[in-house]
Amino acid sequence: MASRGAQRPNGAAQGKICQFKLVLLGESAVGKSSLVLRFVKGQFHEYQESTIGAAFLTQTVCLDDTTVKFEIWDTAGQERYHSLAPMYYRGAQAAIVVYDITNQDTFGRAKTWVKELQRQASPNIVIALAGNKSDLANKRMVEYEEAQAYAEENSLLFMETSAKTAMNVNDIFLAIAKKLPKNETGGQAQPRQTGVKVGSEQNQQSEGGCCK
Amino acid sequence: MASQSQVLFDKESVYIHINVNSQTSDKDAHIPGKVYLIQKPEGTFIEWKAEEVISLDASQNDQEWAVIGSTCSVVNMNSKAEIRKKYNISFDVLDLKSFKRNAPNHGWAYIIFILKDGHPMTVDCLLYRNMTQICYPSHLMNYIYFLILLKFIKDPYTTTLGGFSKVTNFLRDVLIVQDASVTRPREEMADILQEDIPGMEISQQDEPGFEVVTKTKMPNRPEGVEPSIRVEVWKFLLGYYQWQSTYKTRTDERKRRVDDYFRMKLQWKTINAEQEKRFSLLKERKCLIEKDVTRTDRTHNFFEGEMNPNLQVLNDILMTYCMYNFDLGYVQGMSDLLSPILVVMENEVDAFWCFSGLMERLCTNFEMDQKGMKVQLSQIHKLMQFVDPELCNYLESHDSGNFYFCFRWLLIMFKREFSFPDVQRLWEVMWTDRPCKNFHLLLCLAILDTEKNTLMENKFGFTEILKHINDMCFAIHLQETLKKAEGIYLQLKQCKKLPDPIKEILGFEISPCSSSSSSSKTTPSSTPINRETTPKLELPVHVKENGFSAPSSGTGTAVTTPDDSSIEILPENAENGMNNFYN
Repeated sequence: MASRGAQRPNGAAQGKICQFKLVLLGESAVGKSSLVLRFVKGQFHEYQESTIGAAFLTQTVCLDDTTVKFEIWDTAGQERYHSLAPMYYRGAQAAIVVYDITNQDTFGRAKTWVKELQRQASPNIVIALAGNKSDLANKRMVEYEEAQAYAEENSLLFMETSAKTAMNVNDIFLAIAKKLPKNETGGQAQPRQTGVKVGSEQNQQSEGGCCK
Repeated sequence: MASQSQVLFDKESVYIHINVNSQTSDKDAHIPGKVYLIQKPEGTFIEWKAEEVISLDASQNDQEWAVIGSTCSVVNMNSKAEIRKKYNISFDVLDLKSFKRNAPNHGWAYIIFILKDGHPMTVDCLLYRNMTQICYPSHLMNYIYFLILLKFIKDPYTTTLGGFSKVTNFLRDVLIVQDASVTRPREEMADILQEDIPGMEISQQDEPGFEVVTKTKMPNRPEGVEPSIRVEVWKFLLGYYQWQSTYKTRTDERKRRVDDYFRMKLQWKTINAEQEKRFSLLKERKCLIEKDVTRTDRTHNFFEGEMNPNLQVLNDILMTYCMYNFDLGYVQGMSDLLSPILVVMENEVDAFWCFSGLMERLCTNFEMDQKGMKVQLSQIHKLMQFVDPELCNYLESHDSGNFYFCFRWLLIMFKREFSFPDVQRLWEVMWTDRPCKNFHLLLCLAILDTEKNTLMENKFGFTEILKHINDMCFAIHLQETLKKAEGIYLQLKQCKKLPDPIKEILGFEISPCSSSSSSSKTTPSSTPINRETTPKLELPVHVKENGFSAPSSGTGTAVTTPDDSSIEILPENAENGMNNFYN
């Protein structure tokens, strides 16, 4: 899967190319699609439509001599569609769990997602917690310290972000990229313990993440 | 001798394509004529004879004939006739080495016959054109063309038939029943075609040897209703008004509905903040609705702008629907379904009742167990297995046998895939339930057929397929897709050996003598297709004789659930719980 050539246009031929699967999870309307749109296209839509099913996008970032390609799965947030989520986080090497700093319930929901990932996703998955909508600080309902303490307890990356202003959006993806193992074996996703098997062939393409 | 020849079959307005190898501009010249299948003492012959020149309309004639050949761009009538005759074709079917047929795209298809001697024939290509493009429209109403495919029992090219055999099995009856241009009596046609022809066998028999392929011209699909009357028509289509109602009863009905609506609206409107604190379920739904209303179709002029009052109407209808159907509540996607209705109705009460009618059709999509979605995804799978085993196999072997990439299409009935006017037209077509039940599933098949080459040639896997399908929004041609879907419907309708599960999906009548029909009505689809014993070509025959056999590898624990067809065709690996619903 990650057998792309290691040649880069600028001549940094020694650079590695790593490919990682990343999934966004979180309550509906916390800004998952907006974070991805900002990261991938540099855009922001005030009235970003809800995600039906799931969306898939890719973005590449450069980190020192390594090129990291993110395969990003953006999911629907509503509880009703929860049963679909395992299909997306299976085999993921990274996850961003998003909540809305103006809505305490979404923080509670984020904690539930973190628990589920810790229990069901790949054991080595890198989880980041994103407190989105930080531009709406005057409506804040979730304190920074509270979320940070929670993140530390659970060994999560944590940042408050704003898809609207772009604050910390690239940063959180870069922080994930840094934390992901980029050696020959470390990036391999472990076979997931449970979850959805899609189709009759298993994990044909989601086990990337190794570097060449 | 002539009296011993028997015309087994003929068809007018079959075109040959000349100069196919030419690099000049005349390479697309087509000559109209008539094709015959003739039984002669010395063998069975395929013949093609040019039409008489005199029947040509002069003006079109020039157009048609100006391009015959590089050396005769200006010819008079007589020389045209001569030119035509020189293209007449006759060959013994035993001299046929192979034939090749293109995909029937763009309203036409052709077939190339290659003879055994390697000679490409005087004319190596028979072209059957869309009748609408040629100059005898009066002959050709409501019918396009068909082609005769011949092969021999021990034909080494059998495998090449696989690709289109699925088309060929259905269509013999179409020509007999519907072809107005066939001049001989219908009974005679039927008798002849059912006879055994020496050296060949007819496809309805177990060894397919002789297959008649047709492509039927679509009747012109209605363009939806005139927008100005849509506001009234939708009320009927969505069950708000009864078809047999009168103006008087409708007026009374509407009054009752208005009262009913405001009664329910008042129910949630009068819940105060204190109550709401102890009514978490309602509060939760209110929040969900607010979140979605603010981001539903905000680029449409009906909903754009910061303080657009129509957003409040959207919100109120959805909240009232929560009271009307509290068990279902609000689920993401509903606002997408309501939005086009509100745009058409421009009235809160009417939009509510029309939305309720639509939800009657689609509510299972939104239920907690997602049963409606599961069933539909598995129905697409079943249809695809039958209609296009090649693509079906491809998808299965590329992690996409769950057809999950159709999720958005199905959940909100293509609302995100088309422009507003197209969505409105598409929906009203679906609401007629014509030409058959679950026609939207055939629309899925039609889109996938259009995308088949892209998916397969690029070797797309699960993620790429989903991305490709997601990215197709606003890029699907509705009218063409509807036509193609109706084409699939007509082909299935004419297929005599249609498996019962397929009939059930499409609401076709199931014949009582069918082996598996006795139980299938009460336990739909409890006899799943066994993918391992479902060869492409023989499927219809196979099915007729055996019904469907049980899955050979009964590894899944949920396989025996009789009322949930989606689980039964699962591949191995079926796990318990919600997680594998979409396998």
